[in-house]
Amino acid sequence: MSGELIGLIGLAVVLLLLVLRTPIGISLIAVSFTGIYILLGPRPALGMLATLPYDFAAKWTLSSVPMFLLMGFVCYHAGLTRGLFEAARSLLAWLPGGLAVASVWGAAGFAAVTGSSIACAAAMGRIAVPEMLRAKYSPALATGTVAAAGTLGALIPPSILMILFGIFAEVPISKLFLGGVGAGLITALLYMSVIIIVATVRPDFAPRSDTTDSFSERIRLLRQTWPVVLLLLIVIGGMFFGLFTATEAGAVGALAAILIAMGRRSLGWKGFWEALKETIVATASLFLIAVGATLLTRFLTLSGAGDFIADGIIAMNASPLALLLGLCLIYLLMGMFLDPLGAMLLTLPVVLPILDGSGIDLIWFGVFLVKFLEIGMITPPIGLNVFVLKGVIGPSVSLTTIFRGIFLFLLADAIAVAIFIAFPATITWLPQLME
Amino acid sequence: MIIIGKALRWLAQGCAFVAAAAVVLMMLQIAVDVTLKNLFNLHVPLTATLVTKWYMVAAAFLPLGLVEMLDRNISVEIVYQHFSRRWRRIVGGAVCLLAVATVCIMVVPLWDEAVERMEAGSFIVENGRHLSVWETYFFLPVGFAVFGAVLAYRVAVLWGGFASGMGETPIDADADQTVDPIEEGI
Repeated sequence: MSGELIGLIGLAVVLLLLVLRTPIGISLIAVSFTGIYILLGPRPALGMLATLPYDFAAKWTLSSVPMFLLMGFVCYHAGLTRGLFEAARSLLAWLPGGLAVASVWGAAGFAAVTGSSIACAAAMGRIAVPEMLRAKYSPALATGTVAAAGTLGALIPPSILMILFGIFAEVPISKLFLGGVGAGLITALLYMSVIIIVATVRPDFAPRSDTTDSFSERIRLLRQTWPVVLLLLIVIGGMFFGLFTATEAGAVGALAAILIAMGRRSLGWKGFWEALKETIVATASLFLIAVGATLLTRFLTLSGAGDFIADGIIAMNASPLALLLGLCLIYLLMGMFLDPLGAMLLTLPVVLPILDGSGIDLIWFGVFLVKFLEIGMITPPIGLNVFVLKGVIGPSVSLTTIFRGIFLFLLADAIAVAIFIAFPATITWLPQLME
Repeated sequence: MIIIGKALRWLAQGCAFVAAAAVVLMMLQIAVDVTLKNLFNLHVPLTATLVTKWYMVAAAFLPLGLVEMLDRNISVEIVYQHFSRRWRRIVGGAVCLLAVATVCIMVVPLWDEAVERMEAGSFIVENGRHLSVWETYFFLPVGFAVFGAVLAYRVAVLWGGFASGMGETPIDADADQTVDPIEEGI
């Protein structure tokens, strides 16, 4: 049996194991180890198991993963982001669909202190959806807005997906983060446009608010957002002005979040332990997959299956645009069934060699990929953000209603993707400015 | 059996506590190092080695038992969620057994590597300072061994049908959508 065939069979077995709910990390490790064992024998296979996990984890750049996770969980448990929606509501309520628009910008603000779109959707879902429903907003619009706005969590830095892409693709994480700013803001603007158009065409979907806050009330509400503004200034400002690297920014941001929470007396020992527990659990589950993905990369390289697939695609002489559209389709399909992290780490060993010779900018692609993985978070049948939102709001709105509400935001996402392809500078401008 | 379950819970939580301490120390040390670097052009000695070889390795692998106890390993539910409870028990248990086998195969070379490093007295030199790192190689076999033990106990409870005592999240229950969303992962 040829090496390529062993590699391809290995990939098929991985998919089979995934369908049976085998943890993604275990599937990748089991298949890669078995494949390397068949190809090279027991000694090299066991040798890789002995050294690879340690060598992978003991990396300076990876330390930003638990640090940014900790920052997000501390913000969540200490309620540091609670004032965001209120402030956005006060400023934007005059717009058609003002509450929904405020949810989008509230989520964008929350995204700046968390790398997780699920946390973002959950936090906004708790605050914004009940308020929109009270204001007689259409349940589909209210929930669709929050589920879609949650995807900004992984797009606007910090972003765990971008950190891992940067490590696997060997590109600077700080540049990916800056690229994410442009992509996140364009996405937020498009979501806002969708809401305004819907609210203008169908005013009954989003009745206008007849109360406006006084100037002093607005100032009071804006003041409540200072923890997020301060964290944003520390993390993004520090990175942009070269005070610290993206890796160090995580630790500085996490410590700053804890100090702010302690200053506000909003984080007790219980909340702190919960934040820590969530951090280590998320870190370990993520590293298990990452170790598996690294082993899979070795297996595909040794078997020649990675090159076989890459050569097959390159031999099609597809233009970069056709290649991108093909990848978009694959990620869209994968996003429907797979967790974004799993989808990314599962495919990078095959996709990166294809991108190598295509002339596609890896910073641009990293941000673009995260955008696509996040679209998968709101597409049926497995839109994680939708299920999380449903968990938060309870039985008052059905899953079908939420998915119906998301449809228009998916159109906005399609426009965003077209903009990123037609005008790559929308993503690469800020990273280039850094140079 | 309940005593075994409780012992495993303490073991998994103990390992997780060490990992949590590593995360806190990592945060403090990097933050202090960055502050000193920017203010006085000074560095906290051995920061790179402590962060990469000690804190990161502990944070990444020691919580594996707790992750499994809480059923927080990332997996695909698309087909599994449509299984009946009986099939969930059968398939879920079989998948756990595969995971136990994989983890056991990993523990052996990881342990051998750790013992080899201990006998060699592995250390790192950073800016003229020595730091012993052989101890950190034991984090991996320990973390994976606890992971394997929790998995094996989960199968025993799942297929044996007796009381657990470990406090694990069951894998044969119906999907509960009312859990805290923050616990849903990345």
